[in-house]
Amino acid sequence: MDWLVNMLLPVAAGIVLGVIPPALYAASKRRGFQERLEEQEKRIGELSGRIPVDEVQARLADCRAEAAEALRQSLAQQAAAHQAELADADSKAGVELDLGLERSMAEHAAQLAQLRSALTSEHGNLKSDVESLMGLVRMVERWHDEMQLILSNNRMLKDQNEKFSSIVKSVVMLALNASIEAARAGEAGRGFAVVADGVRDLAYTSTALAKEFKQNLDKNDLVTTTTFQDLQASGNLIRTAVFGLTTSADRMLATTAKFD
Amino acid sequence: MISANAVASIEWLFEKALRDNNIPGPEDNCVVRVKAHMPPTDTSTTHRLVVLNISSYVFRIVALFDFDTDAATVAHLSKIMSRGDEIHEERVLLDTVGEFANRICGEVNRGLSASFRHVGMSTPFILEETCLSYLSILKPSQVRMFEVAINDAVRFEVIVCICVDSETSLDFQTDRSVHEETSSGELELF
Repeated sequence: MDWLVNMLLPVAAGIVLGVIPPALYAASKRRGFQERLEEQEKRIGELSGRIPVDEVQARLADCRAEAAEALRQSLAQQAAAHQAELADADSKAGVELDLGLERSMAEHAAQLAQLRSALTSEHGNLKSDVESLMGLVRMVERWHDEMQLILSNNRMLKDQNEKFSSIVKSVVMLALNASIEAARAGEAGRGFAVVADGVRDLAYTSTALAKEFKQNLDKNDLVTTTTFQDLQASGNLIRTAVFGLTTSADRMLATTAKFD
Repeated sequence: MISANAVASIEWLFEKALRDNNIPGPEDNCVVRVKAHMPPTDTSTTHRLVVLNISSYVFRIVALFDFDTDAATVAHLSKIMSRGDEIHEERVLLDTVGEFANRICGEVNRGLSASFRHVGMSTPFILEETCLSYLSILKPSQVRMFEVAINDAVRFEVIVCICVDSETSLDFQTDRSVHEETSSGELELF
């Protein structure tokens, strides 16, 4: 019997030790679940007293629509007020602008009339000066006539020089003949030979002088002609420039006349 | 003081004008040569020297045309200037050589007008050929001599004196493409 007790006792102790801790753990778990359940039931109770989400959204939409309408009306009123102010300002500016433009146009018209009058007067002076300057042509013609006189005089001098050269050549021949005759006369003609040689030397000097004179007349022809031509060409240059100025002045006057 | 470009431009304008005005027909040819030295002065009575002046504020060009009035030259001038037998009269011959020189200088004058707003030209004058010996009296800055040969039968010389003040500077360049397009043909009236 004892051996049975000895054998069952450890078994019973094992059973006791194996069952009690899980039972304690399960009891503790059950209490936790119970608390959470109670808490959730409490929250369900709270939530069941609130407004549903759909209704909240509907109400929000109504509020937004009302606010938007109020804002639109306010903006429309402000816009109308601004429009009215703008129209008023525009009208005032238009009137001022018209007045300013009229004043400016009147001033410009007066200035233009003054300018046109001054231009017309200057154009008249210019025309008169140009006509006067055209007298340059007559001046160049006068120079031409004077140059022709100089050239004609040069030609006459050349002719005279040629005649002089011809006479000198004859004198040389005469002096030569005189020398021959003096040689024939012998001792009696010795004095005459000296005179003949002297005349011949003078004739040679005269020939050289006549040649030099001819060269100077040629130089004179060249300088006189080219100097006159320079004056004539410059006169043409000035005349062309003056014509150009007249044309420009006429064009300017015609341009201002277009604005009459 | 005259630049090399200015001398080359004037030289080119004269060469062109001489060529343009010396070819009477398509079968004719004209050669213009620039000579290094002055030709010896020929004092024979058949020579005619025509002088013409082109002036601006800054320069002056004296052009001298030296013609031998032999039969071939007179025939050429007659053809070029459309003259009849009356060219054999001394007065008509002098008028013709003057007009011929005027025509060439007129083209040069027009060419110069592209570079200079104000340029003027004189009328031609006849001088004795012996005057050529005294060109130094004009104090030219540059002298150019052109020998013109037409069909190898007619020859004449043109001496161009470019005079510029020692205190003035002359520098320009002719736009050759423009002048090649606008060919000559106009007569310079005087």
